[in-house]
Amino acid sequence: MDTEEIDISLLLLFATMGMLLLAFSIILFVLYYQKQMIKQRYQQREREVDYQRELLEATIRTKELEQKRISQDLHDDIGALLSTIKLNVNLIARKTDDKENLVNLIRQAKSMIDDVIANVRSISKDLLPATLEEFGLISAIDELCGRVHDSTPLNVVFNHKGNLYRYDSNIELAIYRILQELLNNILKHAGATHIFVQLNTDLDGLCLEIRDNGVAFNPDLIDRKGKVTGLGLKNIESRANMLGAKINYERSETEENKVIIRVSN
Amino acid sequence: MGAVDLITIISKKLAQGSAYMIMGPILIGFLRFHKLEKHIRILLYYLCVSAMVEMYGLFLVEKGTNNLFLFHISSFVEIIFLLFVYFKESDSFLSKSNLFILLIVNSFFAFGDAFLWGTLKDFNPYSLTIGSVILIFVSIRYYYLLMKNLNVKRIERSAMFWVNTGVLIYYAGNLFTFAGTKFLSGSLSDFYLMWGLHSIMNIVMLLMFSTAFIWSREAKGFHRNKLV
Repeated sequence: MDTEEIDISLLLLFATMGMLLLAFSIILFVLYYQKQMIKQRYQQREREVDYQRELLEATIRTKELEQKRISQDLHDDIGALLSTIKLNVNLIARKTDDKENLVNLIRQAKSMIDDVIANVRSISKDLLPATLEEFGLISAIDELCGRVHDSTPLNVVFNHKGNLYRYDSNIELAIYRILQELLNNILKHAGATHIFVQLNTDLDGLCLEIRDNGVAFNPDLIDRKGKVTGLGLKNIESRANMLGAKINYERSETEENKVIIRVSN
Repeated sequence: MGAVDLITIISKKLAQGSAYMIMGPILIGFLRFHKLEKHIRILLYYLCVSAMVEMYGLFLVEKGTNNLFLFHISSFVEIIFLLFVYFKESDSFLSKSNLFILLIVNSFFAFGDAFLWGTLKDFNPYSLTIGSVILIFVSIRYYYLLMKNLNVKRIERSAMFWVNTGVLIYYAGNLFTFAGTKFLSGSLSDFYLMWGLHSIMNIVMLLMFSTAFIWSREAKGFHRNKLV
């Protein structure tokens, strides 16, 4: 056996060992990597499911709070007024000979009935604004902004760009509720003086932008993974998910809070 | 007894052992035939053909007749069958056009080794080397798609994973044996050493195929291993 043949055979042997080592490394890497990736995917799915459950719970809790509020409004305002009206009517029935007192009691009862009617209208509007159903989202937002502007110290400006499209009623209601929730949040927490609402509509969908000059958005309300933690925000997120909408929370260079909601048609 | 004689005896025993060992996966395959996935059945058919060729090869060796022409046939058929296994496993993994090209390349080198630059009585290094490169590439691509798609939850229970592992170990381990045999023909001990290693690799591949037959589950969706 000459030296050249020994060299060649050793070379082939080492090359074969090298290839085998490479093959085994590939196999072990595939086994390890695939298991890790499957595990991560499974954990991510679990987190998504947990988050969806939280959103659903937030929606249910919000509905319950709203029902409680309506119940209290009905009991405290309308219930109380109707009880007083009943008392007045009883007194009217007893004092038929005292004309002056009678007129006063009737006047009071009429005034209280007007208050009841106004309260019922207000509760009904909160539940489902008639403008939204009859005239669509743009008019409803215009009316809402106007109401907030008139009834609070805030300066609320609404601007619309695009054609007067009507979207599906569920989409319009969800967007309206999101805007209500956001305005509510600004009123309660932001300490703002100006709110600017911009709605852009076209055939592809709509984009709603709400800007306010209040305090910076609380970063604690959004965790490290971008998931919201506050009840109101979870409610908004839940509605947005239902629409397949995207929400971005930003703080602009001009120290304004910006919330942008995009819905594709 | 010198080292050379020892290597020769061990190598011959390993070669015989690996030839008879083929009956193991064939038996398991037929026992579990109804549970085998369609592409795994192709593997079983290949092993049956391979077993017949091996037995005839051993018979010719006993008779003292040159049996290298069988090696030409078996290596050519082996690559075709294995490519079909991958093709049937997933249409998107190996398309018809890619399969056609690989078969043409394999056939050309098999023909060349048998009739152009070689003969049926000589060893067929080119077709074996090219075939090894093709199957190494195919098996690595399979692993890549497995990791990319992540649609097999328990990879160690996937039949195709074991087939692929057997193919990679066998062809990666034998690439240099096939390519370098021409240079070893002068030294019998080196020849037997390398072919002893080949027999070991063959035994490992057959064990992997047996595992594949054990884990194969037909068409219930849970263990299906379709790469998309």
